Amino acid sequence: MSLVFDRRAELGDRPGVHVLIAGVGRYPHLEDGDGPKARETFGLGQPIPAARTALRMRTWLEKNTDRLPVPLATIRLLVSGGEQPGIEPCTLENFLKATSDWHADALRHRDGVTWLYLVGNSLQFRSRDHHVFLLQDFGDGVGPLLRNGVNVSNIISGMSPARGDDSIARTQWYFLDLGRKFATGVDELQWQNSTAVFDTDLPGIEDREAAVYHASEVGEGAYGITAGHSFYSDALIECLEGTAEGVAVQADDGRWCVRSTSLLEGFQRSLSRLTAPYRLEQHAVASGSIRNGILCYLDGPPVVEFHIDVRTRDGRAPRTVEIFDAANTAVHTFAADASGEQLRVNVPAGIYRVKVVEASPGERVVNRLAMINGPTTLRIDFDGV
Amino acid sequence: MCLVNRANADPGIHVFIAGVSAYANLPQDQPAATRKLLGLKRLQSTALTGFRIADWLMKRRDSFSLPLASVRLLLAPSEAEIKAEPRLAELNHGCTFEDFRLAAEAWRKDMSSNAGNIGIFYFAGHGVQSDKGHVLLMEDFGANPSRVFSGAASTEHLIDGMLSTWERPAMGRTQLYFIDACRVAKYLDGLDVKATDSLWDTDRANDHRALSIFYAASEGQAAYAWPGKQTLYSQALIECLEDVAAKPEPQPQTPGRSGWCVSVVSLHKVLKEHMQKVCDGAKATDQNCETQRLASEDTILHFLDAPPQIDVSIAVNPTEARVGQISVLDSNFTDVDTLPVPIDPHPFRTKIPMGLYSVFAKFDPDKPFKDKRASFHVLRESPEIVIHIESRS
Repeated sequence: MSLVFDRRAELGDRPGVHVLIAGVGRYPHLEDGDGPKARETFGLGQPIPAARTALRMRTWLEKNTDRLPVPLATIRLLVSGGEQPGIEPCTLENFLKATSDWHADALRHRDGVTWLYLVGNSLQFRSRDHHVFLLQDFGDGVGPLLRNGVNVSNIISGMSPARGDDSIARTQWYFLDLGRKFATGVDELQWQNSTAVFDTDLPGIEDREAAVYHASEVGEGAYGITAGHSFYSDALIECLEGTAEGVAVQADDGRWCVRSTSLLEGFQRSLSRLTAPYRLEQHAVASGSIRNGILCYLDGPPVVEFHIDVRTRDGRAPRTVEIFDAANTAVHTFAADASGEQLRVNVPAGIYRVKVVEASPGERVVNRLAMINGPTTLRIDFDGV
Repeated sequence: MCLVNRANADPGIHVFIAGVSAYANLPQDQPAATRKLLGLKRLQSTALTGFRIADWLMKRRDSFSLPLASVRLLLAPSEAEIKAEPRLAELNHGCTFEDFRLAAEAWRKDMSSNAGNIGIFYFAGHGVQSDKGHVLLMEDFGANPSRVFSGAASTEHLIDGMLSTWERPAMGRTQLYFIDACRVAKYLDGLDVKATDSLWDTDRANDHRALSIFYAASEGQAAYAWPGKQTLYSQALIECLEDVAAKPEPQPQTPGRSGWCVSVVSLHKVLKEHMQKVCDGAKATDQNCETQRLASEDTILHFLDAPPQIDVSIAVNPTEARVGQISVLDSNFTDVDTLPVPIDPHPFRTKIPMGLYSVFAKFDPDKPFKDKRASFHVLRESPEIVIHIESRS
């Protein structure tokens, strides 16, 4: 049973978020595995952080149910490696069953939301649509080599309302925490031997937001820390918690949130920062049908750094520098004669008025407005006033 | 034909536009009866659309984030389009598959001169979509009765051929594709849409592009046009580029510019909603544009000459506080507007540039209200200013 969270009875016919998380950190038939080696391993080994990453995504969702646009309804979880009691391994059969049940839940309400999080090994073929996620039993010698792999595009296509599933959730988030290194040494058409998860038909009318966030570009790897998590999940959680630069935006009702587009903007910044110390190249990419839906709300505005760069006419430090919020409440007064790097403060994102009084001559006053939604430097030049 | 060709080793914007209306092998008025012609007929607005896009780019050539280095334009206009826009007569050099292939090859060569180049591709014409991919139909589509997709190019194949490879290590990284064509699958059952003409060899290579792909329609939908004018999508796109997609330029701002720009992401954010308005106006309610891929790093496309003007309403709460003197100041605290006392009509409506404003409400001592200052960010999505006034008591 992959269902580890279930509030369907409580929600009744109301829309909910239906989540499927599949993490494979142990492949018996790949390099360093404990089973007979697959006849082709593509050099792939054991992506140890995958299991931990899958478990932390479950934990994050359970802890943040109140921040989702509609209530969390179900979580299905399959994990191979770092086994935990009651959690099924991510074999082909289990994956097909879990995706089928997940699809059935997605049909409960068109205002529902689905999340798919995949982490583990994968193979990329020449067409960017031919990207195969490898399940735990990949390479077990039964059937074709790629039988225990699923083409990710088939999952996304199969969740389409174009199949005639008019009641399917129209907001769908796909997080593919997978490398996209090429499958070298096999025929390009081998991807066709991967297992289809859903029937897909000729395209019909598409009216869903189905944003797909890839952890890597075609040809790249996706990385993590052996004793920790994948960098992608670190970056994703930074974004979903609003701490990544530029990811927090205001919804129409004024609440702060993370939208599908702002997530993309913040994702790469976080990922680059996290991978830089290891000199790794990993690029987040979004595809699918991307609109601007809300993934989650934030508790409040993000706190960002605000630097005021004051140039007085005589080069002396200003007499006073004060910051007022949009309602004109003083939120910060710098120490008298503060200047240069001292005029730096962390503030919640928003509109601010900065009032600067020059020390001399004549204690001239300058007011400026600034919209702060990321690290900002506001330059105030008394010569130019 | 090349409208601009200033390609050199410096980064620049390289544009390739194809607009096909006069399909040589399709019937003029009635949809083709044969399955091999996919039930299609000639078009009346798509070549003109290509022209409109090129015209807009040429007019705005000095406002782009990089120099406009090359503009390639392939047009196959109808007689009606030439009548509507006589300049099309001299640009009518056709857009057969071979024309398209040669222009694509030249575009790719220019694009591969510098990794900092920006490439923009726009196609307006017939298109079809299957689960195997999307196909662009050229002027000579339907010439070969034994092969449906002769005179056709695969959209995916075009995009894949623009990868940076060992042969073209300096391929421009930022690439935008606008596909202004239908995405219907009618008549396709059983046909192999991969069997298009081949533009070029494609290599398997790492994809490090900042790649964005915009479709005028979602899968399964048709793309519509104002007959004899332009497609609905091109109208929406140009309006978004003009000012609907405007956003404050990120810091540090470019000296000498207005501080307002349109970027790939700002375009994406508004295009769908604005397209909906255009479609509603045309009663084409079953067309929704779609961003199929969006680069994770934003790119400024062009700078606006000035902040976009916007209609705002200014109100006080409670309305009894209308008796105050309301001054509107811009972000530099320069007076922009002073409202009549009392405010009448209330809410007061005026037109101001988008941006940050400070509003100061001052009351005479005999009035029962406290003075109030508040700041607002006036944007298209937040065009209302409401000043909450407290009573003195």
